[in-house]
Amino acid sequence: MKKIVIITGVLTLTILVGYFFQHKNQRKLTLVEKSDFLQAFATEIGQLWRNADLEGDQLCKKALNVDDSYYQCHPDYFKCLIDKNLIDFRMKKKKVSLKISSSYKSIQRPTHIEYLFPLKVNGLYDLKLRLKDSCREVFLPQRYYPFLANQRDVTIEWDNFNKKVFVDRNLSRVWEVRQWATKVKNNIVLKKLKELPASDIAINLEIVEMQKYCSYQGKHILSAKVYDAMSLHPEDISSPEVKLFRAPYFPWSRKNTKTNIFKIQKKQDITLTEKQSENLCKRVYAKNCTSVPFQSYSSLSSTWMGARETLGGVMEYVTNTVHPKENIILSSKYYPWSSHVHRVGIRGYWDGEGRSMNNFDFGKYPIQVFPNSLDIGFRCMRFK
Amino acid sequence: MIQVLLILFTFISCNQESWETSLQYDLSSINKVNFAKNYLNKGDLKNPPNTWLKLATFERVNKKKCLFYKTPYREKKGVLKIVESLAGKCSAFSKGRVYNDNFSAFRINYVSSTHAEKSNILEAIYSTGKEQLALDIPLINITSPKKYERYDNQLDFSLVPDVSFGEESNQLLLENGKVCHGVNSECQEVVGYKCDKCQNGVVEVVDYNCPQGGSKYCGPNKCGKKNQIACPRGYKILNTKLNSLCFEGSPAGFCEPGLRTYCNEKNILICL
Repeated sequence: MKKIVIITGVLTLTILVGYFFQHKNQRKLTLVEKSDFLQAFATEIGQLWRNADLEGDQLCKKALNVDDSYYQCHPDYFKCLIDKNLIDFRMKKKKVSLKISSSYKSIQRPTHIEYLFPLKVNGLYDLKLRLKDSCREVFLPQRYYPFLANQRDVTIEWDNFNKKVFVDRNLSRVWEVRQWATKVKNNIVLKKLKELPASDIAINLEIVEMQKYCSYQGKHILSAKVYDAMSLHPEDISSPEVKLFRAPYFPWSRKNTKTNIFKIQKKQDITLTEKQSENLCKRVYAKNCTSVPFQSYSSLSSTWMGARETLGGVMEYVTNTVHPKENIILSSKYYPWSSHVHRVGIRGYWDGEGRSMNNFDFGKYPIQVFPNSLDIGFRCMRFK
Repeated sequence: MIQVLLILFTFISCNQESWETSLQYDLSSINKVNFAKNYLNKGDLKNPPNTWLKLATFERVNKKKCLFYKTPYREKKGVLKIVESLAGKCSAFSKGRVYNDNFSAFRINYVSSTHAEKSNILEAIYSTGKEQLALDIPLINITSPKKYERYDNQLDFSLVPDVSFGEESNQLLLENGKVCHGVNSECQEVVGYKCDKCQNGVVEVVDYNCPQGGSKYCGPNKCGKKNQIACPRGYKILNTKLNSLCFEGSPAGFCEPGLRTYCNEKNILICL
């Protein structure tokens, strides 16, 4: 009897061991290998990444005078959320702990920038999280557009039907240009930006440096034609086939007369309340705004298609094939609201050789006191 | 003795995943996929009976694999299996991994829409007994072209557009000057769209009057300058039925002041 039990036991054991080795690939999956975890984690992390509105995240929002959208798709903000243990992601009601196992890496793909975060989940499992920048570019809707020339005297018509054009939502920032300059080891650019806060607009770059920065990302410097398209409020947004090029002056309104800045420019008797002034400074940071700091990424400055920072602040360099002598947006902090430079389509000329008075032609809009160095920013656009 | 065997059996069973979880694991992190269109969203896979059908080829961390299903025949049940590709080819008869060999019915659907909920999901609907069951497999790293609208970003469509996991497969990039989308005089695509692989941006040229626009090349934008391509003005705005927009003085392109549009030997509008 004992013999039978032993033989049966050995046989069963052999079968079980055989079964184990046959199915050894079907091992128990770890938490981070399970698709329900990955799907739930991707959904929640994606929302945090692109919205940057986590409760209690003030610990990670340290930049001065920026709109909250500055933190959207910002790798340092996201890293801070993890470092400070602010992400409350739960699986089956249990909080999942997240740690960054080594520093994040930025990777430039032809169509986007991606950040690779090597995570340690629950202190045990390695997970490579890839976050793509989905916040920086906005689509230029396909429709007929006016392109203004000769200080708005001439309108050239064009269209972008069946073309996928994307523009940078904001002017390029110091941290973004630094990221590129560090990658390509451009020490000259790094030196130029050394003293500037990360959230500031990247100024003082040569045209060729701007070109290289945009080109590295598969983009081009914004053209004057596309600047007008993204800034001029269409007569009827819902009808792209309508060719009506009324071209209002200001990006945030279809009717000039409804705006305070138009009333100021028309020398109408208007006194702005403190709140109205503050809001206008967030739309057009002009000479009148010196008592308040410039607000980066201001959502109030948004145009009809979502681009921001089109008027006021620093001047913006644009390429202009048809009228090369109109390559900088004059609307900036150097002019008061009453100046007509604060209108879409008013441009001046910069030869790109330097930043002294001789390098500029402001036409009928001279700057009364020329600064030591004129601040010129830029942004990129993408054809897809 | 029996107790020892029971413990051992329990240990082995607990350390194995169900075939459903294993299938989800194998497919949810793939980077590229090609579905056989004949079998996708086509109802239960029955014909021809007792035959291996290649449902999909896919890639995960530079490893190519194929998913096969053997249709049932009489008392023989359907079999779902994954096989690694050898020298770029998959054979259903190679040694692979069988997920389940007891299907009385099986079909796969690919759910994709612009809605955030339930999209880019592979749905397996099957029965092994009387009951019909469904298994959702989210294809987290798979992207597909998107119809862009106002306020959209530039990313392609995917389950969660800005999040993915793991290493990305190596991507072959196109150098400057290469055509990334070519159209001919009949507006047929002679080079399929691959401009997402351009390293330094894309530029469109003015050539034929096609609804999908002109051909596109990889490289920086120098349009409008002397000896460079003319900057496209658009196609609808011209309101013309001419086949080609490439001719001397064509209004279809912009040039710098003092330059004029000409058509070069490649039928591309340039500025001289």
